[in-house]
Amino acid sequence: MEERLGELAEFQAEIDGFSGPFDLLCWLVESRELEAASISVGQVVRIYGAYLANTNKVSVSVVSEFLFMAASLVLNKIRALLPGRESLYESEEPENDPGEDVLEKLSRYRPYRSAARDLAILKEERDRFFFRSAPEEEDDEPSFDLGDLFALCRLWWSLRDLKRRTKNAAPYIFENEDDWSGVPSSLPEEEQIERKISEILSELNSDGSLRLSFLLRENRAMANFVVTLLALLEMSRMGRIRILQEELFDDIVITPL
Amino acid sequence: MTSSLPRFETLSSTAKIIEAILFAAPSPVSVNEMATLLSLSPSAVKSELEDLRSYLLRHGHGITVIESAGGWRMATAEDVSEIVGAFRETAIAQKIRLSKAAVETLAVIAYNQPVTRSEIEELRGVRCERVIETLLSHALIRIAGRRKATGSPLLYRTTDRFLETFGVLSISELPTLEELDELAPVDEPHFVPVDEEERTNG
Repeated sequence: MEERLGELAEFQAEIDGFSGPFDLLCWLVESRELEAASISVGQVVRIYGAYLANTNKVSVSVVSEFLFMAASLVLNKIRALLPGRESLYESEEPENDPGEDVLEKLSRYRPYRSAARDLAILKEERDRFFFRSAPEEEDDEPSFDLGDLFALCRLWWSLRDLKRRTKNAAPYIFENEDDWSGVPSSLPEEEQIERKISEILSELNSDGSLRLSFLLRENRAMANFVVTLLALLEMSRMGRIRILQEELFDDIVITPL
Repeated sequence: MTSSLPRFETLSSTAKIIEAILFAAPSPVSVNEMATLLSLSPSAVKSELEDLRSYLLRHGHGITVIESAGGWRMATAEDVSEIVGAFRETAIAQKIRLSKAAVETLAVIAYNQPVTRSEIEELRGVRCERVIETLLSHALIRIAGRRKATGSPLLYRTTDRFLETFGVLSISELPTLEELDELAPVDEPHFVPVDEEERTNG
């Protein structure tokens, strides 16, 4: 039965009235004085069906799931009622009793149900206070500890911003965008990088220090971006330049050593 | 005549400064921070805060000071909440609306953190994917690494914002599961025949 309850759960989550199937079961147990282990399938189906009918949000898929669940429940019950099976289970695995299982799950669940109720009350109380200003809520970014995924997104957004701002000057060009057949363009060759290195060096010789945005000013194509970055990394490895980013997401300053 | 006038009560100079700090602070201010700033002991700051709170209450002010997880902050008085909540978008902007399922999921996470989604689902008997997404987007929970197990599932923890939203100072302040279990209504097996027709038709 508890497996079927899982299925019942699928659309239970859609509805505000109950937080889940166990909530519904607890409610049934409390309000109708039912014994959790022997709740009649018919009752659950009926109550739930009536409940669904009363909410005006039921979609066709929900109804079909409901019918499937109801049919499964009935089938399950029929199996449980068939003679012969009981004695089979009795001797072998008494812990397989679905009633016991539901009871165990319900008793494990019950404290959380109370906790949720308490929390809801706490929130209601707290919601009666308003704060003069709450800037930390305004720029409260969703916190993910997953690497620097969010930072990466921020970088991407700022690049997009930059792109928008420099739209008139030089947009980023994604080569072969039209005839892109899923094959990535060839990797930058060493030769290209060497050429880029000498290009950067000559710029550095004349200007002192450079900014990455300046290096990318004319050609904002992705390949050029990649080649430039590789060139800079190679130059840094060779100890010819220092790469500095003063602030997070700031422009990158390249100074000769 | 003069004797019937209420005695003019003023705040202590420390309470006055604390009031000003909390007014100016954009986020909660911890007792320790105030203690350092005012060269006072944290307990002294605490008692000044309590004085300030009761002073504001006694004098019928529209504001109060309340303690939250991150520290103290200034807030509107409780008895004016209804009208303040109706003022522009104050209520909408500051309050998060949570479904019953969301609160229950938060409860499970709060008591079991760090916890994986499948563990939450096991306890709640329902899929939680979307609820977890909602809670993450409200920053009420956060991802706290992965469990070293098959499939290395993500672990979830509640955030300070959770504490703030529910006015809880720390997770340890919540009643234990055992306490909650004792409070919960216990369903002793009742073999009460139920007249289905009558009850469901009602």
